[in-house]
Amino acid sequence: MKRMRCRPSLCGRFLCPGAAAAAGPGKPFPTPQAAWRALSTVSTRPNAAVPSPPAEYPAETVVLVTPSRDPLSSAKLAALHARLSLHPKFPVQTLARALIDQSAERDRFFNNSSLAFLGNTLLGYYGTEHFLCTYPRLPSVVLQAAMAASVGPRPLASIGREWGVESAFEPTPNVDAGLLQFKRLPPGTVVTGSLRPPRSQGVTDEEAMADFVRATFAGVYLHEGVAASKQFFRQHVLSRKLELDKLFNFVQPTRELSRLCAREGFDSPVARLLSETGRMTNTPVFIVGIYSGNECLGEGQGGSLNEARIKAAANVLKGWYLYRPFDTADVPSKTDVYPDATFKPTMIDSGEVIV
Amino acid sequence: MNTLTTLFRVLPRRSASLNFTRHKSNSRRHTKLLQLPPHPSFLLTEASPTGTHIIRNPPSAAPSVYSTPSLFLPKDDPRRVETEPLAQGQSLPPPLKTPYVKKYHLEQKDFDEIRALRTGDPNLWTRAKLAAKFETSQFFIGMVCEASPERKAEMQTRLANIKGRWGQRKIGARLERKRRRAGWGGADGL
Amino acid sequence: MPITALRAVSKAQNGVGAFVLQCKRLDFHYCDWAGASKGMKSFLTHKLPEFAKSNPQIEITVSPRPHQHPIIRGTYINGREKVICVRKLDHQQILQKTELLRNSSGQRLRRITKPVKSMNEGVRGIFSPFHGPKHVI
Repeated sequence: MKRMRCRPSLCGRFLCPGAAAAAGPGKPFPTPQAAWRALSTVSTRPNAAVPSPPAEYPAETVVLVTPSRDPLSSAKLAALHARLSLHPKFPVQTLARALIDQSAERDRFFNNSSLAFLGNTLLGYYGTEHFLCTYPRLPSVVLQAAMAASVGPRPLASIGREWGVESAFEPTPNVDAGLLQFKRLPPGTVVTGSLRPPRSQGVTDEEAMADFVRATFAGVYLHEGVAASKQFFRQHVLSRKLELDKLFNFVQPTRELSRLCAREGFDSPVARLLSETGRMTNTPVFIVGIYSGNECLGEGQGGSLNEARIKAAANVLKGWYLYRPFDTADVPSKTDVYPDATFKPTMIDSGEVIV
Repeated sequence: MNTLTTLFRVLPRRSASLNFTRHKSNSRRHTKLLQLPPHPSFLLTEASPTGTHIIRNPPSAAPSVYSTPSLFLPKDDPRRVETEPLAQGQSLPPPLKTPYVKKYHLEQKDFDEIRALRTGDPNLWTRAKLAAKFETSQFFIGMVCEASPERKAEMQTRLANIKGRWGQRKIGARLERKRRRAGWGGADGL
Repeated sequence: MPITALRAVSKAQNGVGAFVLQCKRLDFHYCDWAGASKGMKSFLTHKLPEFAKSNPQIEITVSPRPHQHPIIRGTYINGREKVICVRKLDHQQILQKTELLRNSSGQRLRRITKPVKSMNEGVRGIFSPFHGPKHVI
């Protein structure tokens, strides 16, 4: 937003930092140097004495602290806090710290690295227990893909953007406290594999945004408690749509299915033609069902008999792996919230089919 | 189908569109289409039951993968229903391939014979011939006795020569077919 | 390997869990010289503080735009902006425009032709002529 020189008539009411800084209990930082570096809670009221710049800055430079650099008077930060419906117990200072990446600030007490680590652990814990208790037979590769799709860096970055978080172009000391601050990599930098530059040289915006979201989760856990963090997870992660059946990719489903039936002691699967049309035309359709004994396990549709049979086998296997218990089992973290409640463990499956 | 038409069929055989979605060219037609007449089971006739009853109206749709078949449910699941045996006149749909019962009739001496024949004259005693002779499958013959490395190399060279004579269209068609088949396991998103 | 997995990203469903208001910022511009800003100035003095208090999730800025008509610019989470010129409107009308911007999602205005838009499949599934009672010709 472009700051314009304002007339005293109206602007004074809205642009004066003193008026905007509403009473919020902000703890001052331990040393003035620390205050300058990241979370400056220096009051910018007109009469307050501005502390002198720290020794590492050259003497002739005057470092100005703009009103919005203070987390307490950053309108963006307050708006973000309200948009996420965070409890007043969650201070804006923590939210401001969550927005500062490791690459922007080396001091670990003023960046989000530790918060992001905690948040990552929490997300991994809640995500895994949700998938395993809802779908006990899920294969491990699909579980990993489901986790990457719901709490991986890409969906987290997407969540951050959908919360309306903007990024600062450069993490200078005078940016708004409500902007995501991280050091950007030069265009064309290779970020995959071993050629990736170290974190201090910069990160991608996706990674920085994902770390901010993780740090926010950690903040909710630390300030509001376990129950609130689980609710936050349900509201922001579990509410998102993920089609698990679209994550499966079988290589030889017919072979895997016959191994499964042999392992479980079912009758060996037989593919039967349920319905067909247009066999001699350009666009035939065949519906094939896989039967074990008299029971139809699943169906598939295709333009050729082979295609229909393979798709049917894939659908039958999905029907096996995507089994949901009748009563959804209790997640292990239930006892974190209710230590005295009864705990009903989930079903432990024999595992994937080994071909 | 004569060769001429086969030559000109350059595009692979398309399967019918697998998305059964309804679209009409304008919203008025779409909304009109949604005004369906009631199903006959909803209409009252003289034959309709007068007491409390249940109407079973299963959807005309393919079953979803999220509905687990009864056989796959654990024994203690309350939704499990034991399959009833087939009624008198009912029969299952025809199988794609007649299911065969595996015969374990071959012995060690048969295996030795197979190996001797195959290594002796691989041109005459191919997998197909041996499978027919010993009443087993080609796959099993391959498991019993692999061809010698020289024979394999010769077959690879022959195949490479044949593939070397393919034109761009054939190469493209084969590649497309390979990709299409790889997608049948789920990668095609259908 | 018998099974591999495909990569995907979950899709947001705003409101299913938490609801995030799509309007993230409102900029109010006025002019001290022109008469068209009279209603806007009255709005800024009397109505805006209450509106801002009841909508804490919107970042509100006020700044002069000399010799231009008063405008309200709304910025949304999808990156789009909506601008409404409020020249010669009174403060109540400007409040209505502000609420309109707040209630908007930032998407382009488009005509809704279909009755339902959903990511979820229907409960009865997609109709297939190969399932259900066979149609006899």
